[in-house]
Amino acid sequence: MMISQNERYKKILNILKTSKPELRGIETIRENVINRIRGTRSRQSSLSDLFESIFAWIYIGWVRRSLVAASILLIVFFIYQQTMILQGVNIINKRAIISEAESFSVSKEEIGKQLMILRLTGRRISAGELSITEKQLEQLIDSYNELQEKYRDLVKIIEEDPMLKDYFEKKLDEGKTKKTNL
Amino acid sequence: MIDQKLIEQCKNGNLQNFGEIIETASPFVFSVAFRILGDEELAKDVVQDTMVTVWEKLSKINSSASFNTWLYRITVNKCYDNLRKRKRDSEFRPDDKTWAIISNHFSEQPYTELENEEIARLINFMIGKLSPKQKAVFVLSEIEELPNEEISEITGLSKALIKANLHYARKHITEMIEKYT
Repeated sequence: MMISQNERYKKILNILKTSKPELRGIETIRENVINRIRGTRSRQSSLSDLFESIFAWIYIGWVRRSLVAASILLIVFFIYQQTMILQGVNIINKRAIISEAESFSVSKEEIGKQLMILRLTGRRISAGELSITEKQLEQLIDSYNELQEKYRDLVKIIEEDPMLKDYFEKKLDEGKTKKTNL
Repeated sequence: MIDQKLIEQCKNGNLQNFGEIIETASPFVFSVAFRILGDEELAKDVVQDTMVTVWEKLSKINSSASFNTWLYRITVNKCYDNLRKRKRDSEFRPDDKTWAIISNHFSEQPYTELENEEIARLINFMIGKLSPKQKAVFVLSEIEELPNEEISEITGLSKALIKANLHYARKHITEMIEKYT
């Protein structure tokens, strides 16, 4: 006997309704669920224990919570500040390298030209404008010492030779009279 | 039905009592999940995930009357997650075993209860190719025989959408029956 589509559908549906799936191993499921809950609990409690131990001396709940929030904010601010300082230090370091590189790239002739222009224009360089590298300063001190030594030697030579001494004294006197004439 | 007193005890963190809820609610959750997923092992995973979520969100339950609907909602959502992870099944073609199940039970009056494996075959034959929403609506409406209001509360779908999904599911199943039986 042929049965209609609708009847077939109802039959299959009835089969499914009357056949309840059987859950096997409910004990294992219970055990697994409880273990999972215990695992999550212990993770949560270890974190809350830490805060509790730090602020355990405060009995008022809202004060304790505010202190926890404030301490977290302070830690965040401290980390932010440290990061900003480190960034600043890095930028300053880079600047020093650049200026040193610039100063080395300038040749002696160029420095001479620049000094000449400054002399001609009569411009005075204020202390704030003058920038000099450590190496240039060392060179300046070395040349000053060298000059002083040579001057000492020259004075010694002149004093040892009376003829030369007289000659220089005469020349110096001439120079003085010329300056006054001018 | 879960006792309100038992729920209150569990809210206070009593895991021993929650064990009782697991034993009472798990077969029900398993039955729904198995019928939607058509796979015993996956349904067992859904039972575990659902029970862990129940424990985590138990504080939201105000009365034992709403517990069943709430349990249905969690179960259906877990099934959705599971179905999304899997690729949509290709069209089911009944093999010899499925043929035997269908033909045997068509001729039998009254119907004998099926084993889990047979139920899985039949579920996959009928709703294997439906979308997760269509599967959920079909199981809740046709097998669990819940009213549309409750299905709407469980699935978050409007009544019109429930009707549309159910219509499509029925049409598809009828076509499958016509094609293969």
